Amino acid sequence: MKQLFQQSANIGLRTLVLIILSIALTIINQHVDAFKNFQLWFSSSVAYPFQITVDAPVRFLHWLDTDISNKRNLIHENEALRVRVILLQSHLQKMLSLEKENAQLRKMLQSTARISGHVAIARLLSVDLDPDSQRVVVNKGSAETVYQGQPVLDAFGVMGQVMSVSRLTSNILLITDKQSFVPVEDYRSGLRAIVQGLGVSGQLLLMNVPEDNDIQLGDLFVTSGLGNCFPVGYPVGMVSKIAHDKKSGEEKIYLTPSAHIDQTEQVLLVWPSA
Amino acid sequence: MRYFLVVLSCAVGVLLSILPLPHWAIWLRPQFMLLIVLYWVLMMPSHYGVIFAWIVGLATDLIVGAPLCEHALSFTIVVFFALKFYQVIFHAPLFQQSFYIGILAVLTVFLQNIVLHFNNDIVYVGLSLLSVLTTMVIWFWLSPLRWNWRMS
Repeated sequence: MKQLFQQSANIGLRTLVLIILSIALTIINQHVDAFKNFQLWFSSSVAYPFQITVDAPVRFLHWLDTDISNKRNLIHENEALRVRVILLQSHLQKMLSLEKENAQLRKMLQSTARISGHVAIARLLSVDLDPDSQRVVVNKGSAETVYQGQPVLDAFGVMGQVMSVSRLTSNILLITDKQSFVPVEDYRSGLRAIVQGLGVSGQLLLMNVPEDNDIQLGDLFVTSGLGNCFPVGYPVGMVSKIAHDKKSGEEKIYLTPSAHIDQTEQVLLVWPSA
Repeated sequence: MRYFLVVLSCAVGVLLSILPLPHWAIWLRPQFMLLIVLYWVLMMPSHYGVIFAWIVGLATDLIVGAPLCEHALSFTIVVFFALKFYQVIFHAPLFQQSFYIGILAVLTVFLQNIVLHFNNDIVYVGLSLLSVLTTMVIWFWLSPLRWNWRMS
């Protein structure tokens, strides 16, 4: 009882003083920038240990949660990532083929400068599976004024001749086909001959060659333009083998085609200028 | 020993005041600092009075990052009323005591909102009053902690 009365005598005064002090501090804090900055700095310094104390357990729990993941979740994530990798790889392959196509087209554009007359680029549709007949189908037909017997080239050499034409597609006879004959001449010596296909991809046979010839390995044979079929001066093949038949004494000269017959996807159709 | 407990309880109160809560519970946080101040004031009114309330309020302001003297002012005035009506509050049965604490908490909320308004801060009076309910619940729940401090 005694304590209480002692207390109550001073309470009112103390409270009043503290209220005035608080209001004064509030006003000073609002209007005096230096004091406000000091208050902010002091407040954040004092608060730092408390904030760490509160933050650390929360972070620890969060770490615990993510680190000790459910095995199932990890497996799911792994599968999803695998699928994604496969998808990306397939996209990458398509990109690689697009790059290759781009390079081929660029080479074609460079080589068309040599050819006078109208030129069109066609794409191979399918390769004839008959091993004896080397034929391909391209996606240009009579709608693009492709005609029978039209020469077909690729960026590196002669590929063949148009054999039959439909409205939207054409059949091409490759030079490696048995029925294909291309008049050629030796680039070095000017010797004229005819190249015949053997039905085997990658090999051509030189025909109508006089016996005393100085054809050597590595000689380039280009189209001679005789017969008004193929444009002049286009590479046909390079001599790869000269076989001497001992019995009959005949000489057989084999060429490797210059055109990348098995690899090309785009071909040039040439309309020779009149 | 007693001083250590007082300081410890104040530190724990501050920690609870800045503890991160889920989104729905932000306005339901009890006024822990008010509860601790009132507890010590009601237990030992001769030792802990308005000055103690003012100092604890200032410390809370600094640590919690509130505008200066928001808690200081509100704690001072509330403790003044608590000491004025000390006999009524201390000897009331538990439910009524929680009710008185609730009224003091409402007063705290109003005072804090006045200070915030003075500082041009945004004030949500209605939502702030939700904390009064949780404050009352905490007081009710923690009331068995009181014993005769005069002995120690």
